[in-house]
Amino acid sequence: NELAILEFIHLLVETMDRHFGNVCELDIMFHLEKAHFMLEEMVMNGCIVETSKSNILAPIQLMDKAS
Amino acid sequence: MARDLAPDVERLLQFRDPNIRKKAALCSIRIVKKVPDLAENFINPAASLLKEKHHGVLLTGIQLCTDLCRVSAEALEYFRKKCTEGLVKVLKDVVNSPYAPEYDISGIADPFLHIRLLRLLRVLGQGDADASDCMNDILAQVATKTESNKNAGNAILYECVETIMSIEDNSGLRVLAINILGRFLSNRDNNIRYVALNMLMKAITVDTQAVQRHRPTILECVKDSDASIRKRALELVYLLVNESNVKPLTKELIEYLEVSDQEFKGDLTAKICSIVEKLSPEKIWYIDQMLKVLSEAGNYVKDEVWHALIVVITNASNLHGYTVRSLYRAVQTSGEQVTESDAVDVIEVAIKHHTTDLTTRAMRIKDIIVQDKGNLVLELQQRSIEFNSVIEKHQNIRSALVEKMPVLDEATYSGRRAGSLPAAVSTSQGAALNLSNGVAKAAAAPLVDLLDLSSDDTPAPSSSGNDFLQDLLGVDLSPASSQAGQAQKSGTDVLLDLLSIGSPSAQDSSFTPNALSKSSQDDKTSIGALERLFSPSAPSIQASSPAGGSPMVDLLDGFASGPPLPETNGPAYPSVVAFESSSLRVMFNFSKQPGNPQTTLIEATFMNKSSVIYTDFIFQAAVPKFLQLHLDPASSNSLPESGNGSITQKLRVTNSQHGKKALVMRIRINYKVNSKDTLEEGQIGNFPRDL
Repeated sequence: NELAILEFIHLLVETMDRHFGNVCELDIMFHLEKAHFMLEEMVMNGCIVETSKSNILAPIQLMDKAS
Repeated sequence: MARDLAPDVERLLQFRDPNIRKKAALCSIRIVKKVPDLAENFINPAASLLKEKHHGVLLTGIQLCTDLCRVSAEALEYFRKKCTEGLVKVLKDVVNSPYAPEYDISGIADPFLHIRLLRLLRVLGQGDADASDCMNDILAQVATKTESNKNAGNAILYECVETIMSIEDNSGLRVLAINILGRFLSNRDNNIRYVALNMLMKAITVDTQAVQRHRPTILECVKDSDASIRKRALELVYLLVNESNVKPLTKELIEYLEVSDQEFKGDLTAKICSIVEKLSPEKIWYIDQMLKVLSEAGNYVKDEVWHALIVVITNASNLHGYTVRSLYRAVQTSGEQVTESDAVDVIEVAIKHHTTDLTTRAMRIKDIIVQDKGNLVLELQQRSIEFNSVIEKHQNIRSALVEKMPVLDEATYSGRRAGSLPAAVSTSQGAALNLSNGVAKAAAAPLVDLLDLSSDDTPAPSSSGNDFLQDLLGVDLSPASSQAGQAQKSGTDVLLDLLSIGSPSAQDSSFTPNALSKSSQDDKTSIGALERLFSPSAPSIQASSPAGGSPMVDLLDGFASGPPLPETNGPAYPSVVAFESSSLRVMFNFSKQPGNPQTTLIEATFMNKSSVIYTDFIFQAAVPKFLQLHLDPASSNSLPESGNGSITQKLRVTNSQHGKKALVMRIRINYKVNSKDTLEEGQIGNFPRDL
């Protein structure tokens, strides 16, 4: 479903926005691994597994707190 | 490894932590894909996953179920029976759920979940009426209630439509679905239109009627600025076309053809042509449309289309007048840009329709031809000279040349579509007359005469220069049938054979260029040059068609001027074995006409030395510059084996250096042995000295 993929890209960007606050390319560049983590949380094995922003960001926030 | 871990994963599917369950579900998908046998183990846990609250787990659970159904039919059955209602309920909950900030995307709670659920329902409902029934309500609800001003809504609607299309027939829902697609089509967003067009293409197979309703919108899309949408829309239109709507549709498409840009034109023309070809209600309409297309985008039309058009035209004799008139108009309007093919059409059709007075036409044609003699184009000159000579010299023979062009049999014609010869011959002749059209204004008048047809009936049997063109065309187009064995008037008989010999086969190029270069002079010598051309040694197809024309000239010359062949022999000469190979022997018998020491009549006899019969036997010869050669038709073209029979063929050689140089000749023989083509070549130098 092509339109769903479009939605998903939207969701991804919004999640990153929520995490980084007004995300731009610089954020992604400097925190590439975080961006990847987020993506990993959302998509696995080709399927969308998580769509709730809070659920996605929770582990990442934990990680940030721990470091 | 998958087998080892499978039980563990199963256990984990019921673990406490939702995250773990999520991951376990995904893992199971992987396992099931790798080892389909293990699918049964996962059915039960998967079913329980479907009752989850956590969206993440639910999503993955659904995914697992979908894949299980794909992999194993048993799972499919199970899920169908047990879980359909459950799923429907879940979907209902999700659809009706109040605003949930967690999962909200532009007003809709978790569209991804919606979509996944719909997909699973699709898999379950496909082919199964009961399941489909359960789903009808919820599908209707989703279809009507979802807002479509946001992309998320559109995504859900899209999935919904796809599901409706795949499950068992339910006309109400189907109509709903197609309406949604129609709405998509008018949406300004390109993505959505693209998606809708794609979907409609799939839907057409299921329900054409409904799609027809959206035809105007689709037509609009053909003119869209976005290339991919244009392409899709065009394909869709092509699928939509049927007998009832073909006329307005083609009209629209042709209008668009005028304004479309280059890359698209090719596609568009091809589609229009095929539509018109398949579905034209009447021939006249067909020809009309084709002409319009040709005048707009002639370059893009492929050769097969041309041929088909020509075939249709020739077969519809009652429409010839109309065709010719419109063709002429087209030729006129496009002026210099008339392609050769256009002219070919004009000429071919015109040829069949001369009902006007012979003499006036002859005069007018003469005018063109005289003008063209000075034309620098070689081809043109040759043509015009030929015509001229025919008209002037051969009044008495012309009637013998008359032959109505056989109406192209469609079946055989389409069989010969790949044949380049007809096209080539027509093209070169067409080029000549076309250029003549462009060269002189007076040329327009004669053509008008030609085209001025009050009655479009069979052409009068009166002859004219054009008749022999028609003959050439008619004959060349069926050389196979015309090869020796036709019991016709000797003139045409010879013509046929000559032309069939003149079929393109690369020969010594040294002979031909000399001949060609000579032909740009005045009448008499050019006739001579043309005669020289006549050795079928044309290396190119273009050259072969003048060769095709000139043997006639030669022959006529021969008929008109000299006494016919079976005449008294002069002094006797010994016969020689001209050529001998392991499978063939050629003997030449010489004789001379009493009043003509320069001309030698040779009777060639071919004998088959092998024990297999030869078929399609063709003898060709080439001579150097100072000699002229005519070939008469062979007695037959199949040579029985082991000398049981022979083929004879008469040749006439005129030696302009009689006494100073002896005759030499290069020969080439084509024949088929058990349908395998064989070729023999050789040079004959053992002519008696004083020939």
